[in-house]
Amino acid sequence: MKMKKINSILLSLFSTSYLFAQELDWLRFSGFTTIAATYNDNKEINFRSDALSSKGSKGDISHAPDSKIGLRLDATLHEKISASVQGMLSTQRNKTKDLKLEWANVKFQLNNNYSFELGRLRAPIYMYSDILNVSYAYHWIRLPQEVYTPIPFSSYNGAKFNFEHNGENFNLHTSIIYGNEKQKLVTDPDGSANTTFKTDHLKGVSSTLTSGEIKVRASYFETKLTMQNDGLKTLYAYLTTNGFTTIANDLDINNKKVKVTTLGFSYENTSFFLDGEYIDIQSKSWLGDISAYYLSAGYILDSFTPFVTVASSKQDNTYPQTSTLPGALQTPVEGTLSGMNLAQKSYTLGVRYDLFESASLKVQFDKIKVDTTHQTIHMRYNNNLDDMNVISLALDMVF
Amino acid sequence: MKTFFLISVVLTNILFAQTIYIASPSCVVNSLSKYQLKQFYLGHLHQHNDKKVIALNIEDSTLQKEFTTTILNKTPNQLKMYWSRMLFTGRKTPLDTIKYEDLSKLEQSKECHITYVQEGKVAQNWSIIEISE
Repeated sequence: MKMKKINSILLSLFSTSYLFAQELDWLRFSGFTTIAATYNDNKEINFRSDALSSKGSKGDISHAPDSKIGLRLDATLHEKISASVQGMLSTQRNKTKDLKLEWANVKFQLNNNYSFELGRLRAPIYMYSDILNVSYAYHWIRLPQEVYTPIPFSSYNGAKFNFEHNGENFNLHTSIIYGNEKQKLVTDPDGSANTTFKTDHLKGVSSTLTSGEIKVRASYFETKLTMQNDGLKTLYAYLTTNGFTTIANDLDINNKKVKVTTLGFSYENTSFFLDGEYIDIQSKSWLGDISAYYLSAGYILDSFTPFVTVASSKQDNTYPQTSTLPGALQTPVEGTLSGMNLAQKSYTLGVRYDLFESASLKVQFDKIKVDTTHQTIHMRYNNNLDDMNVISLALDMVF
Repeated sequence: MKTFFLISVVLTNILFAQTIYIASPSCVVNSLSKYQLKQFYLGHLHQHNDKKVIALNIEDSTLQKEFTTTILNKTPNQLKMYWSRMLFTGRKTPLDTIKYEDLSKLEQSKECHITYVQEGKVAQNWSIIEISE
């Protein structure tokens, strides 16, 4: 029913956008959509696209992980002032909002090189952060999850300062950001949005250097993170009551400093592409240290782009002091730590076919391996260690 | 024989017609390097000799494809993906496309426009831009 609703909205938008474009020069209306079907053969693990959703595929065909529609309105208010609003409607949410406001900001173009943005903005953490949900704009159906899901937010409220320099043979784009964000994560299989995720004083810098077909990128961010749910609160209280206040405080993610470093590169000519990204997240809490990478290559053969991707993430959230706890406390503490581990590996094969201008059809097979009894980004119902074999078909469009 | 000759002439014209780069009357753009041209058409460059320059695509799919491949080093699909990335990041908007017959309408404009046309289709008051490596 929801898919039908999205399709009818989409059809009416194609005609509306054409009228807008014709009548209002200062206003630009655009959008993107993905209509997708995903099948995960493992009935014990819910394959989902991010930590904000509970809907996914577990032994059935689901539209939820990848289907969405996004609308964007750009208004030129003055020669140097513009405003943008972008929202996304997806079928994956449960007990959280279906409609997500991703952008709502005002941009001041100070001169050819400098601009300043204020409002709700996209955090430029990754190479594809700005087009996270615009699947048409990248080769795959979804961005490699090992790298793109450990940070469960993509937008923030705050400011962004941009510097763009066009040299003799290169372009340099640098952004400096400051802001904060709050989200509710789904961290248990029944779909309750029960973990509050709050990032304060998010600040950092990202820089992209492009020269010809080569792009290299680096970014660094810091934030004060707070992550709470009823289960964790009970655990900390239990530790404190039993005299392990230091351990409780160390594990508790309450205004704890988190550092994020990313590196990325991309090479793309008219017949070949090679992409790679690496992320390192460090925190002094039960989250521990997370590192992840992906490498993807594809051959561009006219309208067909077959591709292959290898991705891996690991999370070191062992906490040596838990060995000093008595058995009755050690078990729940270590269970919580291992249960929240995101580590997984995946191997992906797929092909993109450009149907016509502004539309592409993609098919993708992912083999996802989880090597311990932890939860990963997907929802595990039992201690099932089988791989997930996920096949997805998607139609991407921009308008 | 005559038909064969005519077809040959037409094919020769199509195959060997050169792409000419032109600037509208209000421009002060006499020459550009291929890299500068690429920068204008990817939205990185907006000025030349301190004057704003608006790059336009021409409504000629064959020529547009050739320009995209040879100057921008992209396939038409890659170019569409590129502009999608720019549009949804709020950084740049895709270039406008103009018909051959509308080139003359821009002659009165105070703004500087540049585009590419097939040899022999240069609009009357537009000047030719020399392209260097």
